[in-house]
Amino acid sequence: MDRVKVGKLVTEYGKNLYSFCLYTTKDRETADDLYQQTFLTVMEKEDVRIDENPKAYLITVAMNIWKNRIRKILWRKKIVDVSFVEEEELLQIAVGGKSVEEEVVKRQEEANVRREVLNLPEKLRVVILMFYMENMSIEEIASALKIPTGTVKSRMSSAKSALKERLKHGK
Amino acid sequence: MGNKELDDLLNSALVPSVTASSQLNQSIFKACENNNGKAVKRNGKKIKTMRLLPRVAVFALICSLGGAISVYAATHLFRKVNVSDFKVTTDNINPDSVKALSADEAKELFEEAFEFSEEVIKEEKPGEGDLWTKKKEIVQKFGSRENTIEKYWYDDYMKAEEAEGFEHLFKDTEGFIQRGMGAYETYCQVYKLADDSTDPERKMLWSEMGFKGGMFNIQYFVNDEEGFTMASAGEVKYENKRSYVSESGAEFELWDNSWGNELSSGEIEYIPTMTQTIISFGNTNVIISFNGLDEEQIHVILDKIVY
Repeated sequence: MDRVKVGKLVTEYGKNLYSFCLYTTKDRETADDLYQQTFLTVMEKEDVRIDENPKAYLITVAMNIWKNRIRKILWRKKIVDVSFVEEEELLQIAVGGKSVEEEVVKRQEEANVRREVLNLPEKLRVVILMFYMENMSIEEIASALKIPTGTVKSRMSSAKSALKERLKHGK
Repeated sequence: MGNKELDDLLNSALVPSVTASSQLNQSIFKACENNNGKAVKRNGKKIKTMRLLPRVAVFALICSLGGAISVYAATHLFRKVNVSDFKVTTDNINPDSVKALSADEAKELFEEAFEFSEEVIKEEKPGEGDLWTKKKEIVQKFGSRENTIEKYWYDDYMKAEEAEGFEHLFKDTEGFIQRGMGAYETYCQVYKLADDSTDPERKMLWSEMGFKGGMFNIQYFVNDEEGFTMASAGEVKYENKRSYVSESGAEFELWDNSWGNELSSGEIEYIPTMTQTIISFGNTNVIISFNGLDEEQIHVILDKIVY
């Protein structure tokens, strides 16, 4: 793949891919590596699927690399703290049509949701990220993860139940 | 909270808002240019022009085998558990004894791990009388090394212990979530020998279970005579060491792991990862890693350990 094509992918989908990498790996350094490795892999290909749905394709490649290579060496690395999200929080507060108090409460709720998403087991977290963050369909997620659509739905349902439970208890 | 409310929250909270650094993107463009738009030839190695994880954040359990370092050795060297001398002690494994790898060792470890791949070559469903629910034969490759393993999945942790000849670790598993989340699993891993039989001396029971909204995992294995070493590469901190005496009188040493994450300013921020304890009896070790659980919840789990 040539520089122009790669540049286009980086410009158009870099933010999606990097956010996905960060929320999946929960670590900037590992996210950097996964992001970079994804583009390296894509560069080697002249696959027609890249043009069909570039975002889903990139996420699928990233997921495969994560599952098969990088994750293996991190030995069940689990990060509870989500300081990178909180940093972003501070940058993102914007008041639009709502009172400052309402906006702050909403932002806090969103931060809580993000924190709890990051605390989900990886298999559940990835499905939530693909669906809500990357707007992938159930079929696209199933194809990316090589699992049946029914499994995607059941993981989604388990993830949402776990989130509701944790948010209810304010953990 | 209703489904609609949660959907709305997830939609507004999970927005792709984080961008890669321009330096990282530039390194991708550079790699592309260096190859004149042609496919990148890696020959199994990553391109040298790229940013190659300068500060390797690797944490692995490593056994020394004739001086060779193997990432997965710790999970490869298992022996059937001796059920007669079960006692809890953490005397011989302590975070203070964690060795830092030399730069060369870390490089070797990381390069090799990056070459890891595995391929499922056979999958079987249980027959009548089998307690396992799924079996897979997998070929694992680590650089030039190759292993064939068999993995047997179980629905229930205690059932797996019984079926595979491990002593019960817990009095009961009440309150532990073993199924239904799509993420938790229990399996036993054994190694195949050249004659296609399995190696009875190398066996590991792995289990990940949910508890009170958090989770914990267990690696239950027996090490070889050469000893067990915890090793780390990169910035890893072991801190907040403390003891807990369980209801049955067993003393557990607990500590928190933090991983160093270098900020753009060059400073390293330490991010808490998990709380761990290692139970050692004879040449058997059980590593338990807790994630997303508070101290009280960890104690509830430790109180269930047989002593």
